[in-house]
Amino acid sequence: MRAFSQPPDLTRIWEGVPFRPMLLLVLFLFVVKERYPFSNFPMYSNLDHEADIIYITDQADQALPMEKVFRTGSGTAKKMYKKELNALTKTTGRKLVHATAEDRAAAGRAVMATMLQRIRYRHMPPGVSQLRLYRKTFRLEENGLAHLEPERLVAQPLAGLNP
Amino acid sequence: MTSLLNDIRTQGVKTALLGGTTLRHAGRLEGFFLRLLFAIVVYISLQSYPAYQTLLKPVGIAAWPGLWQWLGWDLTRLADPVFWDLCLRWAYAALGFYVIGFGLPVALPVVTLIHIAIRTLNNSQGAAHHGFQMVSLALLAQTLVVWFLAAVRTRAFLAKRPLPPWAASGNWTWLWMYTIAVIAATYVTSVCTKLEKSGGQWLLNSPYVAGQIVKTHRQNYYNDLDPRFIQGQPPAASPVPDPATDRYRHPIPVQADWLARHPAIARVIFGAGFLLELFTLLAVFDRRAALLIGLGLVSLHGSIGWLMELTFPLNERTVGVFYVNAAGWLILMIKDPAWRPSGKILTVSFLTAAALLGAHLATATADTLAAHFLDLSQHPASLIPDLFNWPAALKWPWVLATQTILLSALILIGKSLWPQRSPAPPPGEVR
Repeated sequence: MRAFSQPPDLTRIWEGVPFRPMLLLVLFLFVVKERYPFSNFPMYSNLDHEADIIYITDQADQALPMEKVFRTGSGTAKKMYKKELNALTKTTGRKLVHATAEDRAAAGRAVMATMLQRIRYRHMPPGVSQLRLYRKTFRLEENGLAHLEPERLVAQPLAGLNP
Repeated sequence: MTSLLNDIRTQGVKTALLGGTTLRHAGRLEGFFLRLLFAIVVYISLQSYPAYQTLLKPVGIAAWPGLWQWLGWDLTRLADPVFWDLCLRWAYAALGFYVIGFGLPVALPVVTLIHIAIRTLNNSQGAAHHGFQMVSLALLAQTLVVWFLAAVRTRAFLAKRPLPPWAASGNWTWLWMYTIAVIAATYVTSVCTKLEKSGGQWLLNSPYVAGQIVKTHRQNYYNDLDPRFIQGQPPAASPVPDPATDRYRHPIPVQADWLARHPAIARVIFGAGFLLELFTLLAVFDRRAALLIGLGLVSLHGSIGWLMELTFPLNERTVGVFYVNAAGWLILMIKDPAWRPSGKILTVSFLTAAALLGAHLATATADTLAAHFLDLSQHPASLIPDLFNWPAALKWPWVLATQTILLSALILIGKSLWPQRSPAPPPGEVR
């Protein structure tokens, strides 16, 4: 009867929770999200039937080793792209899935601008005159994994940039 | 230092060093090994030096303009190799004090600040990297713990009161337990985020990991153009864009193909990992729970590494130090007769460890599932820098000894959880 006649004693419940600071920290990390060293650890938290990657090629669509040439891995470039795309769609109140080809190209240009700042020219293969930023999507379908045609987001001439 | 000498004089060396270590407590020698091994993890993580000259998207302390305005510089100063070299010297000196356990209220914040600062610079480039947070958070938690203990000790000293036992010198339980709790919090938070972002559908969607495996393999390929990540067939754009002909052109990793074709089994496998992350919070219970969960987490990271070519070596090492804690188990076994393995347990553990090592050596060069599960790169002993480049006469006995201790600990845990049968009463005796 007591349970119906009186509100639960929250203090007592809280005191009964083992190792309370840990649960407080979980709540804190969950709310604060990405503010280093704090994080809500969102890696692979929303799995989808599609997965995409970002990579860079030369003018003949030959892939360039991103870590060596741009000091940025493909995974990091993808995160940068997603962040830019998110910011672009947010300004117009749209969801990421409703990004247009123009939005994707704009996000690609922002990523390419960073890559250009990070180029290590001594690692650039000879004869590269253009950099192309591609996005490729893999889609899980009923009969297997489909590789969709890569989408070229940016084509950036390299001539004149090399110091 | 004085209290150590006092304890040695009054209690003898063995009790002064091993005393205090129980299922839920870390004594003086165990505290030393925890700090030494974690110092190695911090040292390794400080070797990663991104040296970015800009703060494209400031996060954390980098996004506090008032602080940097007041200081007159910002985090990009760490990109200056001379300044970073100076920071490293401070960090290494502080780590030295940390290992010997002296001046921690000053030494720990120095290491913590330097570690957070360099990783904040790295994470302020428009893309978050999640391989270093656990080390930074562990350092931050330890700093808060030692400050709190310093305050308690100062207060007791000023009031001329005796110290409470949990704050006594030589008791490292707080440092150990709070680090275990912080590590657990990172895994539990990850579970909460999975549930939030997926609308509670994470397990249902887990077979989609197949696509993520292809993604991470392909990303690894584009990082360095290493052909082992593309099943020997370089990706190439078709001369004429045509999605219909582009489909299924490239082979995919066998594990991705298998998971895509077995969604129910994929849900069971990822469900186990999901529950393990959730129940990491039980590791604060005692060292038995910490060891079992720790071995589970190391295996989880090893399996993710094999499946997705995605590794978190510093997380694994930190879990290895504070959860698996082979040194702590050895100390408990030496100190406490109740936890001392019998000759039979030691023999079984040693023979099993030798068989595992033999199997590893026999499959080391093979690219098979068995070789993956016998791989020693995730072994807790691999924390020792460069261990696997040591001469065989040194490295394999080291691995064998660690393995024997851990296997013995597992058997002892099993025995401790198994209900003990009480001896049969003598005939005629009434119970």
